[in-house]
Amino acid sequence: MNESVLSTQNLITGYQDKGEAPKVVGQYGELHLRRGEFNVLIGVNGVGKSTLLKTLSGEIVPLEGQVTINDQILGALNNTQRSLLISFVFSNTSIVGKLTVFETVLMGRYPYVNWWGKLKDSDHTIALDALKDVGANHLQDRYINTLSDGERQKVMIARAIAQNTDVIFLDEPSAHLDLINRIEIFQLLKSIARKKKKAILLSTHEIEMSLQVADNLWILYDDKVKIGSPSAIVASNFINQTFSSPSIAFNAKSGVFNFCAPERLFSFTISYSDTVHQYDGTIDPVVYLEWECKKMISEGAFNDENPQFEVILTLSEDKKSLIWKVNNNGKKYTYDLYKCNLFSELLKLYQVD
Amino acid sequence: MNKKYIDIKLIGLSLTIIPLFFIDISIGSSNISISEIIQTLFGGEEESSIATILWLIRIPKALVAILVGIALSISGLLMQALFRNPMAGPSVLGINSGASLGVALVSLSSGIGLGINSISYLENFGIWLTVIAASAGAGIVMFIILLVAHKVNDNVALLIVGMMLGALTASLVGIAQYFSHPDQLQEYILWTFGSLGGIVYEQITILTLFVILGFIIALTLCRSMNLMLLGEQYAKSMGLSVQKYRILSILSASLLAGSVTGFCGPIGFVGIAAPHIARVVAKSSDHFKLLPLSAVIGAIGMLICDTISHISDSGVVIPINSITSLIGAPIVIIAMLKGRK
Repeated sequence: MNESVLSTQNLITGYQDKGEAPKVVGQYGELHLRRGEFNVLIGVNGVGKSTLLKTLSGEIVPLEGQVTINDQILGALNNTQRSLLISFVFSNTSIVGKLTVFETVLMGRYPYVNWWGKLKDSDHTIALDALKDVGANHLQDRYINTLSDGERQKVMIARAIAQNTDVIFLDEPSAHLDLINRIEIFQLLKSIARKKKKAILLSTHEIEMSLQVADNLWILYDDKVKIGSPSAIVASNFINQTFSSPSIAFNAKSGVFNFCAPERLFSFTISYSDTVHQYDGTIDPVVYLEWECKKMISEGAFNDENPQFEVILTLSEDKKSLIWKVNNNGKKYTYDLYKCNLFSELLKLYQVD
Repeated sequence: MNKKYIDIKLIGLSLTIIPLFFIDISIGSSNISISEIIQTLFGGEEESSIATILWLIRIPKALVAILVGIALSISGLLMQALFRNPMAGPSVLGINSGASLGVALVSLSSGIGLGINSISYLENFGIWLTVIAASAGAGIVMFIILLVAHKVNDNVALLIVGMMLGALTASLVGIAQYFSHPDQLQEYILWTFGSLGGIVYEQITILTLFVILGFIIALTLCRSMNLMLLGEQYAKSMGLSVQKYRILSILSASLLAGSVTGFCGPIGFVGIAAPHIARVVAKSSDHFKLLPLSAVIGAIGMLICDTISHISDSGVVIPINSITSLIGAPIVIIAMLKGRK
């Protein structure tokens, strides 16, 4: 097991206003962040992810217990001392004014300089190396506010690397990014944890992606936390229990969340005939039917052994188009594949009944 | 942030202060040629009328212009960094209005029954009284703002308190004006026009001390101001003690703007315009570059404005506050439009 960098004892997070009873957010007891591990913190809105991150970074004082980093008690340190142990990346960066990428990354070295802000040559080297680590060194002379959101987050991560702390916290760093950038950021952080022996904790709502990349998942539920490897957590059906809702179901095999309709309307089965291939070689009927089925279920249809509707995807008799053949208790209907919405057609038939 | 803090632009601009200084002291109701100036200043002629005009009127005025330019532009830069808003200036904290309340209370005091007849009867003491009243007014407002800054951890709230204090003092000044005699009213209005003249060397020494003190505090804040560019969250995560930074910023800005307003009356727009021009010149928001650049540009701006104010040879001096606004406002607009590109 890797060396623990950050640990907590009897940790209870929450808020206490003057003269009021403390409001407990989470009772987490003993936690460990280990060197070289990429940990992902997930949980529904309001469960206490930000509170936990702020407590572990020393911004909020825990209601009980304490946080220790490298044998130093966090509560006893001031801002500057903490900034030598923990760096942070947030979801929003609102930069006022003109700063180049390099100047921004260089700011990661500020905790190491005196009040006058004199930077050494070594600081410049460290900043440049950090930019290379995130693959953004070609951007170094660009102004920050001309970058895309994805590039900007990489630069902010480079700045955290330049800060050279054992622990890096990231509070929903991928919240504003497109899919490719989200994946890149996750992979980047994972490799940084490995190569640079950092202890990383990242909060996110990207459960499906976290399952593929994280070393450990920290799942917050109620006022507790469940920590484990993705495999262990998925296998224990824990995700379905924690993120349960009538409208969504987690498929442990595919690692994907599926939508469920609020009400069950009619039953159906769906299949295809081999003639499909004669018309359109670009369609894979297996995949097509799987997604059509998924969409029907998400809207309120359900599979049943004795279905109301039997649907077959096949080639029309004039061989000019693909059609749905529907058998509704002996009554037959056909619909053009590309010209109709199968669910709404079936719904019409169902409502006439 | 870069290794070399002093760049060619800064040196070039600093050097232009010297010719501008000589142009400023040569132009006026009686034009004095540069050769006469050099002869008088370095030739040791002390008895001539030219020497009197130069040593007692024009040189102190030009020196005050430089000090005012430095003080207001740094104070503006500090406030723009603190509030993360390029439209902030020394006046956002209500320091100007505090000073005007102090002066209003003194110059309009008989109107509201405080007893002192009029400052004009008090001769030399009158100038000091105005200075003291303005400084006290600015100081009180600054003290209230510092108290609020200490209690409330929110810059927007601070901005609102500053504006409200401004509104509050403005209404008090309004009441005092309403009840005062037209002569006194004129005196007060004259003060609000701002003036770089009539300041003696001992006062310049005091002003210089304030400016140096404010400047030194501002120098220590460059790193913090850079961090604040990334926002408070990031600034904190990189070791900034936000509370300490805010208090020092307000202290420095108040010392600079308060002392200037005390001695010269309200002078608008330099504090907003100079940092804007500095940003355009530096093409950067690095405060290690912006701080000296703003100071130099502020000094240049004030020297030019002062020259314009007494450029007519009829002896008429246009109020300095009108000129700085007249020139400053278009500059801010241009700088903003350029900055958007």
